[in-house]
Amino acid sequence: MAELYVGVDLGTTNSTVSVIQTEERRLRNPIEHLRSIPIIQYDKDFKITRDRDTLPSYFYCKPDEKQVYTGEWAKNLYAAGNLPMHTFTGIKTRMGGESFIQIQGTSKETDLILDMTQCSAILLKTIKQSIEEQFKQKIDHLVVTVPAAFNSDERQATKDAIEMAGFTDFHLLDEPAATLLYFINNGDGSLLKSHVELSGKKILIYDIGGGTLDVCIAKLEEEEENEEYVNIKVSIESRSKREELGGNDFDQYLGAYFLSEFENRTKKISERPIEEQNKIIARVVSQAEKYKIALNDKIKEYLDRPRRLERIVMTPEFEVIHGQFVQGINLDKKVLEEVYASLLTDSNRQNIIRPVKESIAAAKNLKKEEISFVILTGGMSNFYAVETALKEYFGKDVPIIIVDTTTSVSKGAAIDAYNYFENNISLKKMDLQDRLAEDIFIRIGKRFECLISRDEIATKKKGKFSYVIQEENLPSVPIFLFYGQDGNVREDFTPIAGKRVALPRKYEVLEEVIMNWEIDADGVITIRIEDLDETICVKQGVSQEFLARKQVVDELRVNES
Amino acid sequence: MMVDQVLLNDTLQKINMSLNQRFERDADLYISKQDEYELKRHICKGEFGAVRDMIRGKKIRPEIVVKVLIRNAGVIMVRDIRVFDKEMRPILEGVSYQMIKDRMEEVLNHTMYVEKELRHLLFWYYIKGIALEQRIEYWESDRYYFDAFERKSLFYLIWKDKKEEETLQSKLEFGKSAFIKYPILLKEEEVFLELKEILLGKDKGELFCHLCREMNSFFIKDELYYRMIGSAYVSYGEEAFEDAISKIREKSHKNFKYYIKAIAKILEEEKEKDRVLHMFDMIEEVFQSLEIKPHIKKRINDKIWVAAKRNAVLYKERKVQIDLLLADIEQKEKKQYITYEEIWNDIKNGEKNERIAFSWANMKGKILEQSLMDSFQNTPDMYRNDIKEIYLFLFEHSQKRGGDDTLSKFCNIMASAILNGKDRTEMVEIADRLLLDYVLRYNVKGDKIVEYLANYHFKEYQNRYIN
Repeated sequence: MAELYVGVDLGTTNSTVSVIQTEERRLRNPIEHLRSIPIIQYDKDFKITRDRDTLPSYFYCKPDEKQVYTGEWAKNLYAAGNLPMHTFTGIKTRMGGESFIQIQGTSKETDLILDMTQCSAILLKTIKQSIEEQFKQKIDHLVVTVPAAFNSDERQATKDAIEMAGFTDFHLLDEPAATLLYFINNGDGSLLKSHVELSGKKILIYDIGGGTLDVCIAKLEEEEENEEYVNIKVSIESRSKREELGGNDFDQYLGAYFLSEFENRTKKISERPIEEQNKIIARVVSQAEKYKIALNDKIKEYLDRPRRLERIVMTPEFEVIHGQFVQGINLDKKVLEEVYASLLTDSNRQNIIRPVKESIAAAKNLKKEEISFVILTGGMSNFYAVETALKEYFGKDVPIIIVDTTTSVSKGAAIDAYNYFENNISLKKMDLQDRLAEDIFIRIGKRFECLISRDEIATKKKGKFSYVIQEENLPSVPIFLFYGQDGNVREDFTPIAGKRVALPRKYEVLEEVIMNWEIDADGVITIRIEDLDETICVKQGVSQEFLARKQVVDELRVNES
Repeated sequence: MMVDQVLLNDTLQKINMSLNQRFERDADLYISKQDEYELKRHICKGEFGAVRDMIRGKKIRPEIVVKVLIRNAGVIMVRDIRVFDKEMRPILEGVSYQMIKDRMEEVLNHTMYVEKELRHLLFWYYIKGIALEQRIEYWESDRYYFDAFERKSLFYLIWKDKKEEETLQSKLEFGKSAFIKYPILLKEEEVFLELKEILLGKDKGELFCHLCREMNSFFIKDELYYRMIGSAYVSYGEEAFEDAISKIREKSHKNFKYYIKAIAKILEEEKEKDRVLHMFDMIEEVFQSLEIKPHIKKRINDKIWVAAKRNAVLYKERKVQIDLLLADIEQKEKKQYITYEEIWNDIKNGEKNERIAFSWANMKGKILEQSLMDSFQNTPDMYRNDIKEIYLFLFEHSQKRGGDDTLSKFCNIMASAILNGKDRTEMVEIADRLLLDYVLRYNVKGDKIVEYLANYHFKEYQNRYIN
């Protein structure tokens, strides 16, 4: 029986799936069996297509029929703006939070309310159906990638979404780690092409996707080598804080430029009803994406021919609403860079270089000149200005290697799924010594105490913590966790999760409650209090409430005619 | 520059807001991440001027500020809650708490970390801002853990609103059930007084009837409840005085001491001359009445005349009587019991055991021995514990008053009483055990002790005098 290992890059704007399918466990060269597979969906003309490798992360919902369409068709409907209250995107950037969408049916009874986990599960359900149709066999193991900066809640929400979609054997992998895994296995040949040695190198992985920008610095050491077994020890030296910056932001900036020009000639959109506002914004942002891609392609073509470059001009023209158009704009490289000025210029505000500087600063005693090379990946890395900005920042001596910007993450994930089984030993494995972007603090009275240090996490996945009781006879204690980098700058702290835990007995002041913490392989934190019989999870596991939410997803028909 | 950056940013904000609002639980409370970060930073640092500037400059609604405050409450450490309250009050008072109900639920459910002081502040404004029905829902729900402050705040506001909306009876019933369920509220002394302030005419009379009923029959028999209803009862002055007097006239009313306390307070505080003189004459008449039991008289002696002396108006007019009454008390306090009968009366009348022992210990020699023998023979079972306690005080007082000599004298008298007692009653057994303990502990000597040990505790006698 063939075995199937699947990697899914669940992206903000596009998702991809890669597989390694084997007939035998000890493949001579498994990388030759690594491939991206199409995701079956409706195309923009509402015809089933079986040849698209990407699933646009959009969906269109008809609550009365409990029918959902995902992918190209839904994206097209979203961009047209005619169904602004029934078409959605941008799920991933809201995972783990409190966001939800309310989709109106023809009556209150058919209204549908979905949280982000359920929305994500719908996209994953599309992927699952597609794999099942193509392979008609069980998946031996699945790896789904998440941004490295995803926190415990976001990771847990992603795991919930995967389970809701019906997958069983799976784990999560950080997106930069997936890219690296793909790279060190020379998946697209870029490793050989660039003639770089891996051992002893410090590399910076720059992954800019649709909604998130992940930067991490890793030190590579080849551990041992024989005919079929190579292990790479990867120590993550530092990583950037969560940065919600990606292709969507570029689209919104350009969309804002279009809209501001449009509003110069018509009434302000804030004076229009909400539905019209959504329609307008869906249209201008979708059109902005189109023009961004088209102009980028032309600019890249002539990047080394300045005179030709100067002559590239586009004149966007499209209907915004009720026969009113965006028109009369001359869009060229200069204007584009002015529109994107704050995203491209190095400053204290959100921009594409700030996370690089943060990561270098966070790695102890590292200068940017000591970076051996930069791996650039993610959908938005195709944009010329990203590569240009990195080149400007690092200078000519630091090579920038672009690794398959569309499928490297899902392919790396598929390799990780394959490597999950120890008998499958013909691919390079990574011994990943990971770290957190920030420390995890617990609040005790007026103080924040470091519970889990980002410096120790590479070697320490569990530990004990003494919670010192501050008041006598407390019926319960608050156990609340926070992300933070500097205990003295608490205004930069971000609440993660927590709850009040009932104490089993009366504690004296200064008595200690021993807490055992643990971070699982997927980065989800659990805390157990020794005096209590039951385990206290900061994030709860499967519950009745989870099952009820799953049932809503189960009842939705995805991409069925 | 061809692109107007300010206009671009403004439009970008609109796009962001529109896109994000689609995903907001409370779309009306949308705030961009950047603004939220800035607001959070200012609140954390106590930069209230900057908070106000942001509210004005960016037209941020108070509800949004409170949402940010709650969402980030875990990292906010309030340095001085009074300053925080003062600075944030205009914002907190401008909030429609109905709009941020979901957020407040997280605070109330403890799923959001909020410092106790800040939680109390938010709680106060929140319950002030919601409707009475919702407050009652919180009051009645078992889902929440409210601490004493929160429970009291909730009670106070419900009580206050009920005053205006419902019948007095229902308010009183609410109060009563609240006090039973949450005795912590009994410290809210002011509630009945405040209620009286607001009530008029018939309702005020009805409240007084309620207080009279409560005084007559406490459902929670403790000082806290008395303090609560007592101060309101006393505030009715002459009416309360007459009610209290009528209760004192009843034979051994179980709550007589509370009525006497109320009378003392009224007498002390009444400033109107004719009225206070009338009251004084009335209580004096009751005191002199033959129907009044001695223990009640004693309590009146203890409490009333001292209070009467404190009232300058009254004391000026009745100086002679008051001084005489006080002198009489002094005299009586020096008196000793002459017979066990007198002791027994005080025991029956609920006089404090320690006080009885104090006077009993003043007895000397044979009278004391006789009274002890009487107590052995004439104590009903139900008073056994009282007498046991009094015996214990007798030993203690003797030792404390005159050291080992006095203790030795008392022990020898007790030993003699035990030796001479007619029957070996249960009370003799009790006295015997206590005596042996003191004899051994303080190495008490004396002829009667030798005889007592030889007769009843031969082993100890052997140890001490033979071996």
